[in-house]
Amino acid sequence: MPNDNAPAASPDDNNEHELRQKTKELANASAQMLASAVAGLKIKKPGSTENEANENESAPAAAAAAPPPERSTLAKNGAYISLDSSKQALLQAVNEAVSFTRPQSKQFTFWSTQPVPKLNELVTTNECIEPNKEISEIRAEPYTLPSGFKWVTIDVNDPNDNKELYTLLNENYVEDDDAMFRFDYQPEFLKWSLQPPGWKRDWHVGVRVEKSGKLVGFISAIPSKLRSYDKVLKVVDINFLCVHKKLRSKRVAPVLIREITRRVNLTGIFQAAYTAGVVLPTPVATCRYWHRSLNPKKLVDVRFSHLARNMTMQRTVKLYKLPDQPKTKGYRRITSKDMDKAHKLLEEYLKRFSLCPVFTKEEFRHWFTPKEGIVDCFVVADEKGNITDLTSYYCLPSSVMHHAVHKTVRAAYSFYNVSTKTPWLELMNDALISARNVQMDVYNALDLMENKKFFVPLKFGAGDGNLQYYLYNWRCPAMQPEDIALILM
Amino acid sequence: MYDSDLEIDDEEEHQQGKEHEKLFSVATEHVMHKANVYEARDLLEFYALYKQATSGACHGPRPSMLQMKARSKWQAWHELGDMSSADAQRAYVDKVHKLDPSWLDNKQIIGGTASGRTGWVVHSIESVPIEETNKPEQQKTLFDHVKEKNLERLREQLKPADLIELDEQGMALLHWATDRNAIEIIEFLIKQGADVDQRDAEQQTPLHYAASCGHVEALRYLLSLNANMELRDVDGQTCIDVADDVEICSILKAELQLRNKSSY
Repeated sequence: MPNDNAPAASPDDNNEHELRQKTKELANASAQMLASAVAGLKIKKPGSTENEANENESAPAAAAAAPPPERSTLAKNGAYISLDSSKQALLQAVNEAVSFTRPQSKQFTFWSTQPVPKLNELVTTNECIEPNKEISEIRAEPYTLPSGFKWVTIDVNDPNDNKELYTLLNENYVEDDDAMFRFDYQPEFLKWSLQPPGWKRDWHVGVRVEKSGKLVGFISAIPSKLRSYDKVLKVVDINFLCVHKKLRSKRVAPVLIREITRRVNLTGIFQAAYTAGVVLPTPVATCRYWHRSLNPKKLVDVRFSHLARNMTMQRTVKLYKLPDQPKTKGYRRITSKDMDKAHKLLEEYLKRFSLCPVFTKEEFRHWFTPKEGIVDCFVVADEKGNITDLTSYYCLPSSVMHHAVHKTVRAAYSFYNVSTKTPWLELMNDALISARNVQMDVYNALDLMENKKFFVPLKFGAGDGNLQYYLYNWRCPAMQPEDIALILM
Repeated sequence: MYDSDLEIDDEEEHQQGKEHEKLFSVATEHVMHKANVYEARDLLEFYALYKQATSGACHGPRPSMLQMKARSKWQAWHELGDMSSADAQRAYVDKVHKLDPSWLDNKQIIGGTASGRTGWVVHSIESVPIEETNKPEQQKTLFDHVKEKNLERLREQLKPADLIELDEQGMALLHWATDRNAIEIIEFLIKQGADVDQRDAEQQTPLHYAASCGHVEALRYLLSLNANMELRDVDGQTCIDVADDVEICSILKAELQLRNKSSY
């Protein structure tokens, strides 16, 4: 089994040397993780108690100070995770090479008509691609759908509409028919994510079959403000683009995109943000999901994660075990009274990133007020009542296809986190505990903001999916994941 | 590819002679998804072949000693000399095939690229460790067959002496079978004469494994064979002490009561 922390076999081996340079920081973190993992495993000294082992696990920094375990033990117990994590940098180089030098034979007939940068275009400015239009220049009537289909707006507050949207997304949103997992956006989640302050029903655009009335397509926009480098833009976040399987060949998606653009343009907004798995012209950044097991046995059972050949379930269960309760003094769920202080904390923190939302007080309250099974937010308050840190996640279960016992994986997705006093590892370890305590099976996070700082020590493993970030009608230099602080659900 | 709604390939170009380009395109997607399980050396080679295939020979100046990252990337690319784009594409595909012989199994090549995890929506799961796919069959041991729950192979190869052998992790086949909650294998091993209370290097029994892993099925089966609940590991812990799961604890406590009663 490869051991990435091993010194290079020959000092003049450029490849190995390069890797060592690039992953020096990660390797340190990795060693820390290994030490803590090992401390939490079976090799504890005879007579030590289970409790001590858990203490070590929850405080990796302390565990790292323990004498290093034998090399063979390290490799045996840690290879499973270190294999994933220490190549992040090189992985990114490969992704970038592929993302930005696509084979030229590929043509984007739809996207080449849209105000988006070309793949390979060297961008040095931070500006719109097309100037804003006068209302009179914008098409007044909806785009034409293939015959037999009609435009509708979906009322997510109407139980029937909501149920139809839920079903459409559940059955068609993940396009891979063989997928083992499908997103299971709950009706209450859809209400929350589609109706932030300033939402418009006109932007919850559906397509129905004329005869049967069946909902077969959907796209949504919600209003928001975004900062790209030094400029604050009025944008919409585009989400939930979904076309029924049977319509995929009818090219409905481009019509949906044109139609939502038209409706948004009519309100004087000309920029948008969206994310996708697929590479289109042209990503602002390429991020990757990481996953932290909270219920490893179930995740292995449903094949969300995989036991390495030499890893036992017994060690895996111990490795991911978390303390019963959060540890940080002053860590608690956010309350209505905290909102303005927490809003200021986040606003101040986001200044360091190149792409981030600019929330109003009302928007902050909408996105960060805990709602059971939808979104949760915790703060750390000091003795004087100052809010020093914040952590939040939203809940999005996935249906498990074809499994006899398990029907759902309960997943928490890291939302926005701020650390000013509480160290990242302590704050996020508490976030993991909070998620575990409401029976989440896995905690997911993108490698954006400062998240890479805690992935390896807190035992996250790299995922197999990239998420591309896009801006519509905006051209700006490409960003690294750590420059991004924008989460679209 | 399902995102054909959003991008379309030039139909004319796909008529003939483009087979390897299709394969190359699928291979690059594959590498993107699996990159984090490949070794650094392989990633560097993928990078070089990719550049050679898409941008031609490396003509840029050699980066300075201080730019380690750029320099080794340049080096790898430069070493390919004037290899043609088609050859680089072929070498790239061959390399993917070598590292991951089953890489094409779940892919259908349609319209120049693969269906699969490249759609509009991304549902990420943990990457599969690469070692899982590339251990040659002839190198597999009995322990591998148990870990893979391959009862057939185990049946063919098991000898009585294998039952008590401990591997480099100090575990016998029965411990691995229990760790993987593989009831059929546990059943087979016991029938072949394995001791239901077999100890590992730390004196743990299969019951310790079933309890600490939370494997309800394995636990019930071992209890039905009257596995000893009193045995302690090197830390002095019984199977109840190492259990964490609520259901496991209640099963064990109920069983203990039952056994205590019947012993009077």
